[in-house]
Formats: sequence, structure tokens, C-alpha cells
Amino acid sequence: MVDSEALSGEERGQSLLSYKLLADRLAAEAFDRPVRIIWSKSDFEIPEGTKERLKEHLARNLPNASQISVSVVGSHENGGKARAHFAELLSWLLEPALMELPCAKSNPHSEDFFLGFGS
Amino acid sequence: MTENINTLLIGGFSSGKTHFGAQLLARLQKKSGELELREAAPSVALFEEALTRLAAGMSSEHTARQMFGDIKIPTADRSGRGIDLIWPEYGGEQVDDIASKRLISPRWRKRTRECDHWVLLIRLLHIKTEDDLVSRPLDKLYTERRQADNRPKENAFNWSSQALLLELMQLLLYVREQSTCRRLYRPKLLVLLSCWDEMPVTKMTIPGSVLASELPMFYSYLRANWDEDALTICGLSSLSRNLKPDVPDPEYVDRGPEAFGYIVLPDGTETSDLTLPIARLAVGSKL
Repeated sequence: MVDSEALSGEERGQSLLSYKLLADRLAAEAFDRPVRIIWSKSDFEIPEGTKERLKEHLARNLPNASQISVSVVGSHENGGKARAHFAELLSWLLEPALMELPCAKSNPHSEDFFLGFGS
Repeated sequence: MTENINTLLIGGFSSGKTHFGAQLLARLQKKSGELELREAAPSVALFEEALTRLAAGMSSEHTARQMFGDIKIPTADRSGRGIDLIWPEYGGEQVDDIASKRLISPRWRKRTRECDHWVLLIRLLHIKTEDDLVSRPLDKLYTERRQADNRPKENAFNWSSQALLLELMQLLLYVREQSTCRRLYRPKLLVLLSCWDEMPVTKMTIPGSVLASELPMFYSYLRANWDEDALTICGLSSLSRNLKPDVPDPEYVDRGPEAFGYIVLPDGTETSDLTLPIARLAVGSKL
């Protein structure tokens, strides 16, 4: 999650640095797992130079990551688009085939009906 | 195959070690130089404060006097050869104390013995040069000596900066039990004249000549004791300009610290690749 507000404020230099360090750490641990970069609060305008530097860093270190921008502000005028982006993000998160995750078989040892559901 | 390059960084108080360390890390992360990060560095905590300050366009605070640590940076050169760079960070007064008190702590002793790659940082603007016949004619010498005779004796003699530097190098070599009967091939020595941007020099000035004119005795000592292939003298400007500790530099914030800083190579040419001399020092090839 990249906070566009932090990257457009006075302390954008420090925010950029922490996102770069975070991306480095993620790149070292992600291996082949899918990564998606979410530019949140995208209604905030990030200065071009700052955005380019982070984009370049992300492209170099997480070349296979896809990106999406989301914002809840201005949804009246742009409601359809904002909803579509959130919906796309959620469906991507919930797509087991995309994430290549095996569906775990639950085998609960519990008398609780809630936990036992699905067994 | 991965090689461990243990670097002994020698730099006194305010010589620019922390800024150089932080900028070197930023360059390694950017992956555009001779050396680049192979994977994420295990921890950048030692340089986090400096990195954050530079990202905000301000100079970093002075490193605490007692601080002593190092960071292992997994790098690779252009040919893909893995080099694990062990880069230290410490309060510069520790180095000043070695020369002035002639005392060396066990951890400094260990590091001196283990490291075959030495980087010496000298900030020439902070070096006090002695007067000579040209800068202080003989008649002045006579009157000043008479005045000096009236001063308290304990203030009468101070080591000159270049004598202290020379003493420091001799002491470190002694601790290492290194004979200087033959010119040294190990430890390899990279001399970086730091804060080059604050020196009154023109483009294409050769760093070796600057060292020779500012610290002639020390320069002669280096040339006399180190093999030509094991000694490199470069200029270093880690930040390209003087940053203030409290007022952010807007250009730094927008373009990023990695867009600033340069090395003046032994032939006087400039390169923005701060990793270049370290890479060459590590693989043992001349610049």
C-alpha cells in the first residue's frame, strides 16, 4: 500500500525512502508469489519527480508486480470507476487460481458448529 | 562464488564517513553502478538516521562518540561476482584518540588485523597546515618565538595534522604487525579526500596533486611505503553541496539524495558512481 498523501506532503522524501526500503525487503522475500502495488488515496497529486523515482525503484525491484490506484474521495463524480477499482482489487485478492493457493481441507477438532462448518 | 571484503574505514571527527556510508547504500540500492545490491541488506539500522535525514534534504547528526558497529552488504559487481561488503560505522573521535593517546581498543585492533582493504577519509579543509618559510617569513618567526616563550609551556607544542595522520597509519600498521621493509601490497589503501566540493579546486584537478601540496609529508610517506598498485587517491563529494542540519534543501527532496554526490578519479575526471572506487578496491584493480 503506497500512501499518496504521504508522498505528496512535506515529508515526501522520508516517505519515499521508507517505501523503497519496504520494497527491497518485499522483493527479497516475495520469491515467485504475486505482488500488487496499491496506490491509495490517489486523489492526492504526487509530485512527478517523486512518483517517477518510486515507480522506477518498484519496476526494478518488483518487475512482475501489477499496480492499481484507489481512492474513496470524489466517488460521487467518479463513483463507477472507484467502485470498479475496489471490486477488481478484491476479486484479485480472492482469486485462488490466480494466487495458486491450494484450497486447504479443514479438519477441525472442535465441537463448535461454527468451526465445524464445511467439514 | 562470494567473497567477503572486510573494509577498514578510517576517518576522524567530521570527516564525512556517515554521509558517505549512507550515500553508498543508496547507490547500491539504485543498482546503476559498478557494484549493486544482490539482495536486500540485512539491516540498514546503522544508517537509517542518515538516510532519513538526507531524504529530507538535511545533513545528518554527528555519530555518537561511543558508537561502533558494522553492516554486511551483499553486493555483486558487473561480472556477477558476489562481494559481501562489511562496512563500519562509528564515532570519528575514536580514530582521533588512537593517534593522540596512542591507545587502541581490542575491537579496533581486531579490525585492523582482519581487514585487507583500508579506506582513509581526509577532509582537507579541517586539516591544519603548518607555516613554512613562504607563509611565515623568518623575521616573524623570531618575534613569535619570543612571544611563545612567555606562554605557558603546556601549550607550546601541538602535533601537526599531517604528523598525527602519519602517526595513525604507522600505529595501525604496527598493530597489524606489518613490516614496511618492502612496499606494502596489503592492506590495499584507498585515500578519499572528502568534501571535495568545499575545496577551492578547478575541474580536472588531480586529487593526488592536491594531497601532495596540502600534506606533502604524509603524501611522501604513503608513496614511499605503499606499492603503486595498492594505493589509490580520489576526491569524494558525498553530497555535492553543503546541506544544513535544520533547513531542508528542496532540490534534494525532489530529486533524491541518489542524484547527488561524485568521485574525482585519480586522473581528475568526475563520476557520479560512488561505488566505483570501492568496487576496484575490492577486486584489487587500479582505477
